[in-house]
Amino acid sequence: MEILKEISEALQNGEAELVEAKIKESIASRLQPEEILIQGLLEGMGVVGQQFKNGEIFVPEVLIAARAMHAGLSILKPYLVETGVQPVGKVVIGTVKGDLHDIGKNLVGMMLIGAGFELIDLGVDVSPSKFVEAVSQHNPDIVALSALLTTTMEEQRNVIKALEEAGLRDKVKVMVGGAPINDGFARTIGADVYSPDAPSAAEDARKLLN
Amino acid sequence: MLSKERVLRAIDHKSTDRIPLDFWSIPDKEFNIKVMKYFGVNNDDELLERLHIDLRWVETDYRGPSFEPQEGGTERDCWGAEYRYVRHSTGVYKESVYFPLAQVKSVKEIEDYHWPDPSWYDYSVIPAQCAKYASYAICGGNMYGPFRNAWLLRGLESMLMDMALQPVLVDALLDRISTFQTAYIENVLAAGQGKIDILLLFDDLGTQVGPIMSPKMWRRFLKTPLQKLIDIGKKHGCKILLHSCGSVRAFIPDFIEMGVDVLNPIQVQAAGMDPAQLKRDFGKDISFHGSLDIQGTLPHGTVGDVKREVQERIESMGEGGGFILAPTHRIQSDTPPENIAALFDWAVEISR
Repeated sequence: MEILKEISEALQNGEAELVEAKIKESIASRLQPEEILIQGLLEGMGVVGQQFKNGEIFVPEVLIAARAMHAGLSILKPYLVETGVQPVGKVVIGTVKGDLHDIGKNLVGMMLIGAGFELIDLGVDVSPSKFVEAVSQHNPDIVALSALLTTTMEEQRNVIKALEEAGLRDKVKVMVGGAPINDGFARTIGADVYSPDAPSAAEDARKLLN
Repeated sequence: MLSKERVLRAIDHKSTDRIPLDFWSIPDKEFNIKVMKYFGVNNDDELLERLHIDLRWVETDYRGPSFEPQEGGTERDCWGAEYRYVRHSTGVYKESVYFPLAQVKSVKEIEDYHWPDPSWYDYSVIPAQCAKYASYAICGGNMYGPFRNAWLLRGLESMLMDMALQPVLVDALLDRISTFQTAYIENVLAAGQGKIDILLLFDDLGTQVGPIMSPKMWRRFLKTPLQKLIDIGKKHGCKILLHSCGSVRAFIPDFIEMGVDVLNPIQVQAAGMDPAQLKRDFGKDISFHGSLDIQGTLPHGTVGDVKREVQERIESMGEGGGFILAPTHRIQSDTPPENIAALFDWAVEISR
């Protein structure tokens, strides 16, 4: 459908108002909300993710594309709810305790929403108990932990421990990321996946659902 | 050989008696006290001496209005930005918590903002510091570049989006910042009377995986204001030391063209920042300062690991001069003091 391609392209160009207008137009044309979501918005974010991963575009372009995506989703959401469209999964995300850095976490969040996930963002400086509380409350498929500093990366281990102590560890998959994080560290602390960048995190999250 | 000579000769790719060394720590009082205790020293100068550090900083005195924090920070600077010292498992880290221009929507609001005044600083304290540190390579300025200062005020995500969506706002913001920065740097270097060897600027352009913005976007907005600061440094006969952490390989040809003499910190775990490859590709045209990994080796490695990396760096980056060995950023509070000792003592031992 031509208009869905236009939505995807407008999103890729970060044109929020155009995305909103095209979504309204496609709803008026009686297109299925799920189709608009998947072939318009998620399709666009998929391209953005690939280009970001390949180093063809950079953080500013991703941010404005995500902004356009959010603008589109605000319009589309009531129709998705009305037609019973479900997210592909649910992720609780946060930057760990003692760490206030969030741009990496936010980029992962944008890619996850762009891959069809529902996202519960706990923000920054999130204690292990707050992660546990969020898991009990929201029943996510995945918990995603971000840390920028070597001095805060250990907190990822503490979150996993807290999930174990609460008897919740086997109810979720745990993804970790952030500048000082690597595969070895992820394995040592018992995480399920380490993702080196935001687009990979979205791909890894989809794989974890299977 | 005096430290000053050692550093300046290295930057000029000339031979030195040993590898020059530098050390930056974080503003965490507890950690610094712990490190000083370990080395049996009483203050920063003694610590730098003990660690064989060849560079020293000279600073202005702030004499302007004092600012009470208003928005949840514990400190407010003269730009109106606020900070908190956030505690984590091994110490504290100074974090930005309030961005005063985060909500502005117009050029007028930017122009009406209460911008700091270069006359709030006392530059007359500089000559005495230059005299005190006469045998060392002296760094002055020690200031944010245009990008870092801009997002200090606007917030990082807003700033990055602004460059894509609101170029007029960005130009106005950078123009105001440039007005302050050029005057401040000129005043500092003039006060130095030729004794400041190095103009030190901090302008982070890299993430762990790549440039934070496209080189094209950076050239559109940020290259010219940075060039202005470099030009002032050159006018006063300074070498230019630019801190830009993360994956910044894509900008290095521009840095060279702009007259940057030394690039810091060479974040070796970031994409494209392998020290040997950087040396091979750019080593003739620019010097490097840094490369001892603080994302892995220094905090988590053994003394043996540190020593091995010191040797590797001296061999790969030190070939033909053009290298000052230092950590890949400020040493964090999770670093065992033994590793700090290993870094600097071993470097001296094997490079003499």
